[in-house]
Amino acid sequence: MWLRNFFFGIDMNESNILNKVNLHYLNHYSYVSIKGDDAMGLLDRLTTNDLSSLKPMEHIYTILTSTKGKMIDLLSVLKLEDQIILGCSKDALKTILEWIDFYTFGEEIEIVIDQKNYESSLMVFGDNAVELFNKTFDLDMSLIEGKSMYVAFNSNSDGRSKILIINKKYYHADHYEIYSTTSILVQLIQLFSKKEDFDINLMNDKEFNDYRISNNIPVYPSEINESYNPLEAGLKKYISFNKGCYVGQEVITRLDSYAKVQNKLVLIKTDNEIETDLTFNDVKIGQITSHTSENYFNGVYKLAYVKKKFLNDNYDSFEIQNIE
Amino acid sequence: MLNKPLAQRDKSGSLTITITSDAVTHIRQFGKVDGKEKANLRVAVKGGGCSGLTYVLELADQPNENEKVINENGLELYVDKKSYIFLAGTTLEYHGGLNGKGFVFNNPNAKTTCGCGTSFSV
Repeated sequence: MWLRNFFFGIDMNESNILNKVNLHYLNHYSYVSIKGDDAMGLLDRLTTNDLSSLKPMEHIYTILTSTKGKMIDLLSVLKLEDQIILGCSKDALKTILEWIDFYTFGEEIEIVIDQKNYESSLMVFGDNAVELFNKTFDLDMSLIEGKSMYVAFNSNSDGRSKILIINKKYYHADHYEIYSTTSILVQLIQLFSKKEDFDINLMNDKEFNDYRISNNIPVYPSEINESYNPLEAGLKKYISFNKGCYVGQEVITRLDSYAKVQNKLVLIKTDNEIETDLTFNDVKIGQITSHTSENYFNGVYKLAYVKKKFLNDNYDSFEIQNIE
Repeated sequence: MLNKPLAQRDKSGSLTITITSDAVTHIRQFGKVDGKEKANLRVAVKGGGCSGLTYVLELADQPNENEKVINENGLELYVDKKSYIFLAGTTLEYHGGLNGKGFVFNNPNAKTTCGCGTSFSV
């Protein structure tokens, strides 16, 4: 078996996914409110990105890392006037709260876990997402990356309902998220679905998993976990190398400066039944972390952490060949 | 994973924070420069730094509510309870050698320190 450097991933134009407006309800994420004068400073000292200059209504991704530079989770940080909405993987929430508690000494911080205003999130992406917003809410929206805005609309039960739209752009295409209560988001999905001018695609977890794997997008816990660092996961853009110290900074900076990153997360196309380990001449060269459904664009696609010395650095996707 | 330190006792068996007389002299000098000749010292830990925990030193006139007060060499040290867990057994020294001047925390709870020495983990 060998990894051949010719597979360039799935052509998203061919897949037609981005011609649709895709709605995906983020079941696996939690959103907590953090208040207090010291909240942003503490998060800044614990995570990789520079949060110090974040202004109200701005969003940024940052990574909570251990002292060894390994990933705890990717955090979504939205600064509002009076609070921070921290988004994270639902299964990582307990660990993240313990982490914040451990490193909180005299800081003025209040964490509200069951805050109701922004308890859920709906992801909206595709080339026509903004047009859908404009037509639905009668807007002329131009929301640049990292910015957010409040929008009110007539909902079924509550009269005028307020939602929060954020341009996050974590994924390769423009990616928006709408924060609100679960009941309002359900009504919003119904409202969007009635827009006949748009090809609305309600994406379930399985379809979204196929999409994110084929776009080399890591998630907790399969790719984002304490076995790997952000540089291995391709999350370098969420690391500030100018901000100064944060937990794990010394290790991450050294790995980057001396080109000592051991593994790389890559997309692999294969027809082979490979469950976990990738081997070459009986030597383990990588670890499969997740895979798409069968026959997704004529193959099975897998994400894998592969030792960099077995890869050509110019490629992010590979095809497995059997060598006799 | 996160580990809470087991409070360390110093060689004399005392579970406290000590400060050397040389360090006290330098604290007094800094206080004089700052116009606070009789100021005491707040010693604390905060989250952050490469290794996760960073030392905090500041001149203080009086303790905050719930702070432990330790009398050492004529100086009062004010330590909040959570910081105390991470600092028990520590000796605060002042080094004035050619390799660098400044206060040094000799902390038996610290398992690792970062390269620049400003942060530690337990």
